[in-house]
Amino acid sequence: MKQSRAVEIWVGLFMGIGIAALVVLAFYVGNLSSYNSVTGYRLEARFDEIGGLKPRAPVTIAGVQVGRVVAIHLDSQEYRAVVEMEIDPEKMPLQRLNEEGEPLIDEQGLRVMCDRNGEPPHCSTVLYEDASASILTAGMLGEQYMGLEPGGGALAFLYPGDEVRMTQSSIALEQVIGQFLFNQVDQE
Amino acid sequence: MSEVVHQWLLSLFSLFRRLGRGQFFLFHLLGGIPSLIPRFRLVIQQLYAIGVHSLTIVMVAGLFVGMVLGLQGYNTLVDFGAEESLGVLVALSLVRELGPVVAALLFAGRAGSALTAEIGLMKATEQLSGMEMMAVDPVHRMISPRFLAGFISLPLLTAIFTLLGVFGGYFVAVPLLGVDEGAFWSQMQARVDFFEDIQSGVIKSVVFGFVVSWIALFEGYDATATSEGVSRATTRTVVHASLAILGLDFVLTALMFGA
Amino acid sequence: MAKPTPQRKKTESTRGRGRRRSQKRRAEPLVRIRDLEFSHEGRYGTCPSLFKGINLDIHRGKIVAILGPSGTGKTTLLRLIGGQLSASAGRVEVDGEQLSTLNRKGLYRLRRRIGMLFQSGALLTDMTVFENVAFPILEHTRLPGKMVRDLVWMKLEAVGLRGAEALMPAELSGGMARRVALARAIALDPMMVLYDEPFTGQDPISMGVLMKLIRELNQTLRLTSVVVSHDVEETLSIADYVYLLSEGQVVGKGSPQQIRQAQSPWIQQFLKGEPDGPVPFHYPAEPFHTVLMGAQE
Repeated sequence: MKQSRAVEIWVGLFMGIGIAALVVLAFYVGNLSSYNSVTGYRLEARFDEIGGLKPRAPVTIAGVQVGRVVAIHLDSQEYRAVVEMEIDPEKMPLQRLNEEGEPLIDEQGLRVMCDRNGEPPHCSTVLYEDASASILTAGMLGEQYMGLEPGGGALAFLYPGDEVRMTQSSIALEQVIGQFLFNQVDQE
Repeated sequence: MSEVVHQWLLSLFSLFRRLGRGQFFLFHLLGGIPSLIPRFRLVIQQLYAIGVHSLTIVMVAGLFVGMVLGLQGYNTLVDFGAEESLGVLVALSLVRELGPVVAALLFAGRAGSALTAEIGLMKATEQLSGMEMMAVDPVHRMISPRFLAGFISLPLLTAIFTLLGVFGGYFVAVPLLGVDEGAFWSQMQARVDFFEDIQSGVIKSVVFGFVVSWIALFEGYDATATSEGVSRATTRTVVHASLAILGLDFVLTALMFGA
Repeated sequence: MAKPTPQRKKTESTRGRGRRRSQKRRAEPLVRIRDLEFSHEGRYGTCPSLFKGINLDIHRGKIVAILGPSGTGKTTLLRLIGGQLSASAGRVEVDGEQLSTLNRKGLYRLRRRIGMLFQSGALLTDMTVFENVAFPILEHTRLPGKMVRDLVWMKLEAVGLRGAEALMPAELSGGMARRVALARAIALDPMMVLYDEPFTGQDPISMGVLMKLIRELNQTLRLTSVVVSHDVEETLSIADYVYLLSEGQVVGKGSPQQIRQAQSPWIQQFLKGEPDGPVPFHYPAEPFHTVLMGAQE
């Protein structure tokens, strides 16, 4: 009996370690955690050319990841790519607005943030209406990701679900080289 | 000349017979699995013999494979200034390929050969026919629990192997070679996809667990009941199981990543 | 007796009246083998046949010995009786049931009433002596643990090894292993025990112990015993009836006295163990002198 108890303990330990390893692989090495994160709010942007951007690519502001690209499809009216992204409200929260549509400021001069269930029209994103989105490349051979610039020239803010109007498409190396050669030929 | 053709046809014929026997054997042993539910103790004993005893070799091998990957990958990536991608390289190659395949090869060598030898010796010492004469189905009583245990063990061993491999890569990359720790993990997490990479690795290990256990047990059960027969069956297990793993790996990779 | 009467067939199909049926059959042999032919299936087809028409009766309550040189398929015969192999032609009936007509379930039900002692003992090597003897009881009954324990002790006591219950099979001597296997074979109180070469490789003492056990168990448990062997003296001294098997045929049968007095030169050579006789010393070959002469040229 004593021996069989040791066997049971060992087998239990083995199963435990194995399952724990699977879980760690899924959540720590892989990205399962980002699948199951509470859904954030969405923004979209239209591009002439998205290059190698793929769903699940990171969305960053100032290099900090705040969300992911969730879907890419073609707008067949304009022949442009529509990129939908989901922003994690934990990483880039919504801000509270007053009746005039201006951000609420607290005593220390900081903006007041909404809690995660904040809804328009009292809550908006912290991006201004003239925010811009561009498709960037990490390193020379790295993957492509979406970079957001918060803007600042406008007074109004973007609300969840809005479109980021200013976009800069992916720079295709072939096009740049092609243009350069074309200019050279023109000059001669 | 016709003699050669005759011999060749005969061996082809016996090959097909063996394959057919293997199929019947599989159905027979699968038929024994429902009766194991109230007697799960039998499976636990085998999990101990098959899974726990393979743990050390799998853990040590995983650590070393990960460390080698880290070292080799660094030397290649540093030329492109992309050593931050080392985490991605180590994790992706382990999760998709090396984890399932190397763990399965080790499993075939460690547990598969032991299973074949054990069942083959039981056959050679008449334990199996003794059981049959006691009106106990030896396949249901002895083979099915071992099959189930092998089938459960390999995916878990693969996960442990892969995880230790990732940590092995980390130990080489971050403290030894000075790769940035944040980049190592964050790039890895950004690029290793649960559904595309980890899930397909798990599917592979489940398939390998099924096939290796089946081959090992069938070779033991079908062995000639002599010591020479058992030793040949053991060798065959390792050879056939390894080839099956590598062949199936190609097929599965083509199915899951090819399109 | 050879052809089954319609009446018998009828009783066979009605399972509920087992008691009356078995009383009726008291006088009939427990095992009846008719025109049995068998050949092993080899790697590339069938080998030359091992049995060429064997007729054999094993009567209830007797110890029947089947003697013959090695390689005549005595063990195969036991496996045919136990239903592990099936005959190429002819019939094997055990307790009125023809084995070839039984399905798996019926065969397993029949086997619960047959114990078999294998040449090697065939003990399960990863279990103790106690667990080995308890194995068939635990597999086939749902008795409470205490009763199983008492039963196992009873069986071990019968073979004189109750003190060895905690040992592993690897720690037993050959004779002890065979006694444990015997305790296991009688664990479910069978109607018949098949002994495969019980005396081979035993020292005189354990041979004596086994002979005593076979005799005693046969009497006290009202068993029918079939002993397959090539140890002539030991087997003749315990058997009630003897069949001699050679080259796929029954070459002699009768009580031990009748066998000893048989006139056949083959039987006399076998009983006395003479090196040359009807069974030649030399394996068939070209005459040696012609081979030598041929090699010189």
